Amino acid sequence: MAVAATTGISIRESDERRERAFNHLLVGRGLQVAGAASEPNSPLQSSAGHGTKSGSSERLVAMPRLKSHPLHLVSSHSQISGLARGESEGAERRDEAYGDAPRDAAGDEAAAVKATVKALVATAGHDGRTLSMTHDRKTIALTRSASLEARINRSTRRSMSKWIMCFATVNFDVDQGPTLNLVYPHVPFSESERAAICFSSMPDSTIYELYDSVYTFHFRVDPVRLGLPKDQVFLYGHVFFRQKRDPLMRRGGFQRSVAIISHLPYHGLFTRMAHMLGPLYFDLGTAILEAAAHNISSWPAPTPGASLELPFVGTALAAELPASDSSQLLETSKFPMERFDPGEHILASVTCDGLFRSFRDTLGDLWACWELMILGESLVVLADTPARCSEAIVSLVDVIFPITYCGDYRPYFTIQDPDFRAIISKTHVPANTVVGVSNPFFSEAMAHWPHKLFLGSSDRMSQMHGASARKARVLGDSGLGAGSGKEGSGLASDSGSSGSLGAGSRAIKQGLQSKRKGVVTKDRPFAEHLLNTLKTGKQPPWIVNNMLRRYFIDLTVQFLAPLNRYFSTLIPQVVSATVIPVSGSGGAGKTAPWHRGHRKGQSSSIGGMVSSPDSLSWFAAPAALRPWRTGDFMTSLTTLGISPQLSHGNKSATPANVIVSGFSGSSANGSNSGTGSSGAANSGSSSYTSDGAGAAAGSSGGAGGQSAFSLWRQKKASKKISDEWLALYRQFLICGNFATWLAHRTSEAQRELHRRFRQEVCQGDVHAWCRGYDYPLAIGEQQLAAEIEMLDLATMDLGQGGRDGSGSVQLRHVSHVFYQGHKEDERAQAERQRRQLLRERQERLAWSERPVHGSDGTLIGYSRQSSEQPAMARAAAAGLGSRPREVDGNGACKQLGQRITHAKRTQGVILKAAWQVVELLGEPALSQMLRGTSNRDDCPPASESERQMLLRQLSVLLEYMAADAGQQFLALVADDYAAGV
Amino acid sequence: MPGHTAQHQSKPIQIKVVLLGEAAVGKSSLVLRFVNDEFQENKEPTIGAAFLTQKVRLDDAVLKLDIWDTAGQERFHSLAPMYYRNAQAAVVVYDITRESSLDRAKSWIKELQRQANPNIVIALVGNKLDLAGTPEPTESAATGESDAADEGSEEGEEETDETRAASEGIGRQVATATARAYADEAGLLFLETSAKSGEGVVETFTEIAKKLDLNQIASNSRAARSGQLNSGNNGFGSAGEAGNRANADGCAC
Repeated sequence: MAVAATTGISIRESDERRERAFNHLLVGRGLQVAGAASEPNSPLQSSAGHGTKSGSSERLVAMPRLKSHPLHLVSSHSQISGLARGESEGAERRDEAYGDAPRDAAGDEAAAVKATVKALVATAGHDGRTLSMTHDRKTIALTRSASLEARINRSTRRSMSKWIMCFATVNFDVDQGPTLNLVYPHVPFSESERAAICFSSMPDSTIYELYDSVYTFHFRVDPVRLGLPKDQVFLYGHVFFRQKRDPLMRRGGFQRSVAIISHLPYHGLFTRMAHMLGPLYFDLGTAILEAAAHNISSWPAPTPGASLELPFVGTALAAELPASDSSQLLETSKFPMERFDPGEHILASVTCDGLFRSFRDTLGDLWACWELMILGESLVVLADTPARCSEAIVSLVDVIFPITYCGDYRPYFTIQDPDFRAIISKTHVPANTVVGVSNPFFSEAMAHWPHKLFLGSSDRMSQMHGASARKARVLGDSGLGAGSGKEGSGLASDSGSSGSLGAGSRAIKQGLQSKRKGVVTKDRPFAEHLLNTLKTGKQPPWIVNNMLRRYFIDLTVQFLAPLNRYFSTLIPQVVSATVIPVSGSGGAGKTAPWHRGHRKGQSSSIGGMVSSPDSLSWFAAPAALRPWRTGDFMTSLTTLGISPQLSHGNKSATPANVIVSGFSGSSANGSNSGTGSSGAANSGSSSYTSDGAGAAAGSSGGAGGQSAFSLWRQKKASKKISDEWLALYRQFLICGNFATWLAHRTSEAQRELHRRFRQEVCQGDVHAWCRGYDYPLAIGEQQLAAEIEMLDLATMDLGQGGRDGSGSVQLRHVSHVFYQGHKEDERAQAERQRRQLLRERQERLAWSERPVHGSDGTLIGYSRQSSEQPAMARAAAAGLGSRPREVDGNGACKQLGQRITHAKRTQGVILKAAWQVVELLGEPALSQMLRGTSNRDDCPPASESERQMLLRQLSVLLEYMAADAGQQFLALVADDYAAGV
Repeated sequence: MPGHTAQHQSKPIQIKVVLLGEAAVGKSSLVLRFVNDEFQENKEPTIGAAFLTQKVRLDDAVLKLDIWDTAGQERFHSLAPMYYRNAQAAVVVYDITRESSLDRAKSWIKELQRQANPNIVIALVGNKLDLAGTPEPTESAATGESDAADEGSEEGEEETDETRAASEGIGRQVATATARAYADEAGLLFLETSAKSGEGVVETFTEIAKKLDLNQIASNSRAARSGQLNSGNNGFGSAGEAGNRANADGCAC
């Protein structure tokens, strides 16, 4: 673990880069200072004049106010001794800070190391000093983490890693810049990942004040090497940074950070934790990290939507996790809204007042920012502090929620970031990238970005971002005078040659500078209402923030409403497809034409052995979605328009009633609120039933129901969509956000379709289906029982004739019935015969058939001989949890003829159904064998009870197949399945 | 006070309880017995502090005890204030077979009385009553072997087995009367317990619950919470507030 050595190198590299960038600036302006142009690439050189310079670029970034510390102005000799002194002090301080580890475990080692350091410092020359320093740091880091590591066991780590990866501590070293001191528990980060953590954990901007700060960053990792899921290419870091005066330290100050590294986007929770952990860590050292790690390892695994009590360093945090498909709002949380208390309650995914705090002064630009985020545009947020830009970006990503920002977003980005070159270039603007920065360097380097958001006090902003040129002048001064701020704002104008910095204006203006003319405009009444609420102090900031978030989350939902509306027409209406009404002709007309055609095409493509499409209505493969056609969508958008709230957005003055319009509200349910797995397809279609015209549009799809469309058009003619909005949607449809949204929506819908299909198969009456009925679920139980009874009666004579005979005789009977029933021309005759039999043999029923009653006492069917239960699944659902008696496995051959009285579907169809069930069972090997394809990936696995039901259904299917072809072995297989293979 | 009663029934009153004491006196075992009614023979030493909760009913009120079971090891001593801060009750545990553990308990009690919440209810608990043996030891025998036991316990909880083995031979080292006298003098609850047999464990927490001034806690909790809120806000807002402060500074100059 060559921690220090390699970090040192990367720092030197970045120093060079910074140096180059800086000199470029200076040269470009013709504002060179003495010494600035000479030998910029040797940071370790320390002539007095140049020392000031090479240090100063770093100090500007880090601690400018302290640069007049006497140690830096002395000659090289005393500087070295100063450094040496500082170093040994540093070593001692480190020992103090992590005192607990050496004290009880590695005390001797630490003392030895300290002695080595002192000896080396005393004897070493200039070059030796650097070397030995690097060396001893490494030793310390190793001993420390080894003793710490030894005390964390594997199970603790495993349960902890469900929440966080590790803690990282970073120290600003005067000579080496930020150094990563400790990663606890150890994670095998690569060098560039370590560098990203290290540099992102320190503010990359001028820090004038002594303060604590908490912010978030997002960095790229290699998921494979870290053992993370493949798509986890980014991790979050939540930093607590502290700068404080400390006369014992060189430069009289101390800058340190502790970061919580996690894969979960729980900004609210982790920010809170960082706030708690940071101060304790600086007071108490690594023992607190150990205690925290153990606390976290005792937490239950995070499940979406859970309310948890999370003990953390002496406080029990009450946290609520977001549901997988919705944003967290106070309204939807279980916390009491009127008594919500951010000190006590945590909505894990949101900070309590992030959005509002970020945009308080530039509220009007929030609408434009929202639009940019929706469209996946690249945006840079230039702020005065890391906290400000990271908070703004995290909040913006949050409010477009059902849409996931498709690109790379970096709440805090520094010039030393490993991805610097990928993101920052002179001419190129990377697509789909949101970057938050605080280093003034970027205002110049990213001047060509089309959208720039400036946040922070204008004075400081102009000091920082407007005054790149001023830097040169300030360098010559011994410090930052009181007037330099104003001076800086004056100079800002001449640095604005690129036009990005508001040439002509005297200072940097807060807010958005964008080349795009926004379609969504500021909702003035709402904004005023918000500001008034805050001014009058009626509501605490978190309520105001919640109002603002709710407004924009709803705006996102409204924006998506037309897309959801169109998408729901692509979902096959599973229920209407499988439950073909009894009367046949009347019902078929109701089905949408495309729907029927689609199913037909599908079933013929699967088998080719299908006699007619109707015969496969149940055990066909789960219906697939129709593909998205942008043209169709645009047509529907033009005809149906958008939510009135979007186009006339400025009307809604009361934010409490933001969710108003019918269809957008219900589509919010479909895509947004956590109604669980039944959500997407179900409520997508049910939302239309709330509105007459909408229902027609939903069920008839694009092709049918022209009259409904025209009706709708008449009604909504006045609300026709404007060209601007059409353009906005068109732009959205080609951006990555749309692709992400569609992919998510599609897989969601497919899973749902599949789940429902499986449910139907589980609950359907296989007996009835095998006997030729297409509507196992549709008709009432009484009716079903009657139907079955009729069928059984019709064939009873055959079955009974062989009852006392051998199995083979019975089988022949069964086959006979099957072949008769299967032929089209004999159907009518069979029917007539059946009715006659029914009339004639009523009496027989009394002694040969037993009614089967459900648990609630209703008649659900008849069984022949006591061993058969025609409505097996029903009976099972009604309380027969264990295996039905008929499949007990003894004498399967003998029973066969008694149980199966006739089979109407062809063997091929039943076989296909059996395949389908096997596939639903999710046994890849089996389905591979039977069908030559493996199970599809997106199917949610079947639950244990579902497996049991499916096995039962399968056994019935196999029995019918056996009855059909006289293959007795299949019956044995059936019994094996029923016994739960 | 019907209002209070209704409130008690609707929402349990949250009580923060902290367990303190030397390593290997049986703090975790005590809590485990109380919360899960279990006993583990060779318990791993606690790291930092474990957190367990248990609801208890007292008259018409339901109390939710948030129990912070701290680590006894010396390296975690500095973390203790974090756990006893805002605690309404503390259980200071010693091992009746180890006289030194009572001294450590006394120093915890001093620290609590100096630094913790002034209304904190403190219970002094002598654990491992099952190892007491029949007779009380004579003065000389006790002092003679206590040194050995002390040396063992210095190393921390890793030595639990040996310590216990050593102490099993010698039985009780701290007389009930001695500890009770101290507890009475310092105004503490006093009980002797055995986490192994369960004796006295529930009583300990019941006694504490009885001694708590619930009405005051209920009314204070809101105030305390808002106090906590403020502090939480400070913590919360420090980034932004620091930013604001920075703005103010910026404007000033």
